[in-house]
Amino acid sequence: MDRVADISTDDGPVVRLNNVGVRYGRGLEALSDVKLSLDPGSFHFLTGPSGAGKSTLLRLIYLAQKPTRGLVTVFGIDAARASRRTLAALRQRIGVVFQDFHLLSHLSVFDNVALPLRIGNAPLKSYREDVEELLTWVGLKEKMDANPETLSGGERQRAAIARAVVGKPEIILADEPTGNVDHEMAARLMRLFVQLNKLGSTVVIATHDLDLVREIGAPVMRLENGRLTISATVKDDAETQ
Amino acid sequence: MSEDVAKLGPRRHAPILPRGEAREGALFMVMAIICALACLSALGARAAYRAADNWTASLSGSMTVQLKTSEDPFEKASALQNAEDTLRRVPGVLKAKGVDKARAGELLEPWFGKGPLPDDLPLPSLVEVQVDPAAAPSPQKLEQALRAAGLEPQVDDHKRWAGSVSNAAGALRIGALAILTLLAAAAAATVSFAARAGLEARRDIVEALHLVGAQDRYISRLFEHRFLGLGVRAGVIGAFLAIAGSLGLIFWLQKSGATHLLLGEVPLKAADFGILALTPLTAGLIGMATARLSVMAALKKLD
Repeated sequence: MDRVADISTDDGPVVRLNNVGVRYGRGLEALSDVKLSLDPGSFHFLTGPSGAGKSTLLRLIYLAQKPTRGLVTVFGIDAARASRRTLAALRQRIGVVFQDFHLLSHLSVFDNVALPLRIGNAPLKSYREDVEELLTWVGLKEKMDANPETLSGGERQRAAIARAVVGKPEIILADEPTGNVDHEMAARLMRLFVQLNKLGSTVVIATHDLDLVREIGAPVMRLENGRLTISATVKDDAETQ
Repeated sequence: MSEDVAKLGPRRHAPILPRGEAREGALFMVMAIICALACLSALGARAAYRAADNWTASLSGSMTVQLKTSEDPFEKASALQNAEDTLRRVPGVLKAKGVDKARAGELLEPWFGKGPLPDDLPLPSLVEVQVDPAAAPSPQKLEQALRAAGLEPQVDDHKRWAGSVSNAAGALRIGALAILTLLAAAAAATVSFAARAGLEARRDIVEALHLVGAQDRYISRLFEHRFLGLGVRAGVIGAFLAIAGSLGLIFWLQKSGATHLLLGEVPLKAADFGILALTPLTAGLIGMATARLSVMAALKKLD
């Protein structure tokens, strides 16, 4: 399967949204006039009250949804015009941590985490070591062969994070990645995101945990009533809460 | 490699599509039965065709002469002898034999049973003629020779009968092909339904694969391999069911004596086993192709 490093990219932002609106049915716009530009290697938090449109914005970026209006480009490709094949190839370059994990209950933790590598038809021996080391690192060494349904919420979250980052994606999106883990594990997982960011990945983390945001000190995108504002630090953002 | 990781034992992937769901068991049964029916209809058509070939082959090498004679037994016997002698002299005639009462009894045995025919049963004066198929004389030539010998003959070369048999065999072939086409369509529709149901039931897998960047072809191939395997296994079982059914039918026909009348020989030949051997492959390919078309179409509607 093509890992599409060959899909053309310009040197500009890896993600660009211009005047993007998303409307479900005939209701109000869930996102309205969103303008966003994510440079390669940037790190952002995404905050805002529940229902503000955080998940919708992430879905646009990981190409699971098309905007009602406006332009979304990922790696320089217009998402609305891209073929299904191209969209799938682009998704291989994006790692996503879902709020509801999306782990497959009939596969072991190891197989779930290895899924992004497996779909590339790479032989097991070529990535087994990486997957096992990553699982050891996120504290799931003893649960590699366990069924995800036997894991606690925090363990599932760590498995989902491991699956998102195992392929060293160029963009990492995480929706409340530390919502079900204790503070120590949350800090550890955040260090993983920071490390991957230092290695070049563009990271966007949607969270309600402002302490965590303060600790990392990255720029904050705030969504409220479908409108996006960007501030340099959580301090600015917190003031608007 | 870290020490912890190095200590770990062998590892194999579990299949992305889980095995052994109840729905697949039912589908397997339906596919196996469809395959068995398809095999039986193909074998039946071939057996009927062979029987028709045998009949027409034996008819094409023979003619029947009917003589107009009085009912006097001595005159009848004399006319038959005269006809036999005359016919044997015609080039291309291999054998000419009058049908006496004993031979007529043999021919009429299915209707009158074993034993002598009733004395008052009127029997035609017939001569069975075997001719060289490569140099067969025409019925008119035989008639001319017999008239020259003072007889009043009517020669039947069985062409009307052979034509009817040939037409019946043709109709059987078309019927069998129609049944095979319908069964293939039924198999394809069944697989299509099952593939779509499977896709819908395992939407979680499809979504997870989609989100990690799997191409449609990758997802489709998972279902294709599943239905290829299922089709091959169902084809093997269907072929065995068809063999068992055919052998049972042959046994019953032989026991009842019907093989002599209907088929003339045991219907399972080497080519028939070729058909049976091809069944699993055909069923697998139908399953695979149908799954591919169904899943690709369904995936396009998912987004």
